[in-house]
Amino acid sequence: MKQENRYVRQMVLPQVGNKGQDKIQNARVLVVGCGGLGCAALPYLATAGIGTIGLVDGDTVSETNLHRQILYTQQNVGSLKVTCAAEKLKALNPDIEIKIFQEYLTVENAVEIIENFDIVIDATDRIPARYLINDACVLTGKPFVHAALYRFQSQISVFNYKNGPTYRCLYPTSPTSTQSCDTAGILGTTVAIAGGLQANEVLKIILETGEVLSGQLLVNDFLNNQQSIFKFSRNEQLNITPDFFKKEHSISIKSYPSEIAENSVLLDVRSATEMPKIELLQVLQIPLNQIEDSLETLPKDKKIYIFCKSGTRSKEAYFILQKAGITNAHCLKETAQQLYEMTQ
Amino acid sequence: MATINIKYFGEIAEKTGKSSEAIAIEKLNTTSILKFLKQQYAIADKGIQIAINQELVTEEIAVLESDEIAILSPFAGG
Repeated sequence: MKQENRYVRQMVLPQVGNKGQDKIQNARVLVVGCGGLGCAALPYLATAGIGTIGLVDGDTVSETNLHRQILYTQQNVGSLKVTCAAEKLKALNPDIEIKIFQEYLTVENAVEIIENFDIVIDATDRIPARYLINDACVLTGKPFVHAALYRFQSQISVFNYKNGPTYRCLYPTSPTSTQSCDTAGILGTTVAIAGGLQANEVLKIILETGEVLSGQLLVNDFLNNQQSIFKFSRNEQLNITPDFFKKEHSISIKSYPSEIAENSVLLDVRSATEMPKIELLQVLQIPLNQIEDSLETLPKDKKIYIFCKSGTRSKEAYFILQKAGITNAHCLKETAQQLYEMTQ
Repeated sequence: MATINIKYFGEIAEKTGKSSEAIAIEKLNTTSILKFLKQQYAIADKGIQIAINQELVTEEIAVLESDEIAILSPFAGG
């Protein structure tokens, strides 16, 4: 039973009304990342009555999150962000449906998850994740509302909206290194404003009202109250194909050499007799058909990079691990043959 | 040499140590601006974008001394 009174104050707006409220109730919004931006945007999406809200995050709440990630309490430290956030949002508005994805968005799951939503909020905190969301949204034809922060500054834009420009049209190449909130520092209020702006763009898209920030980058400096809007256009030469997507976002052993050596294991899901053998210390060999019975033997505190002959069995193994709640696994870009050649 | 006014944001402003300045460049075009950033502050052109009068440019283009130039780069935080 929908509580009509709940939405009265927003339905009074000529831009909302009964029709607009129906649109809000029928909308499905996916929030990728339940950190600072997610926590800022989500309460307003929930209380506005967005019918279906999806939450994607594999992380747990830590004490250093609490000054800005206002959906979580001291008691939540150590618990999964998606379950804590879902509980809080349900309490804010029991009318809505919350779908939780207790995993990080990856090349393996991105398209499948995004397909079932109308609008995506990019509330992540790493540049590669932003390109991943961009490319998955282009492949699925979904608009996404981006926000990113550096200390007291924010950048907000809406990408892939009605065939408009994408993140790659704004930033074709990523810089070699950028700082996140963990290293650069951030005030809760900065993240609150940026996440609020994201929720505001989402509501405008759903209500088909106002000017959506498509082809425009809103840059704010909250330390000095300065605001600029930069315009940019679509790069017609860009062509995101499923093949490009797979190649671009698969994790390569080359990008994480030191990490792979120290904090991870390589999981070979081929059968024991398949050649070539990869003779590395950190290789675990468990054939695909035995993975489900061997979950106990997988290390809990290390990242797991899966490989096989072509990548097909890796993906199957990845989904088995996901289903079992193991969120620190990834498929490797390299095949067994390529790994073998690299180790020779 | 010509003088233009340039604005910096985010980590670029961190690297230059200022949010804006007037700079002297050899030629009035975007290539000279990139060259200045590289020589003066070791800022690589990979990953940065130039906006002229609040509009992003994607190829080498001439600028006027009266233009408002801004250097943008992606932010990571969230």
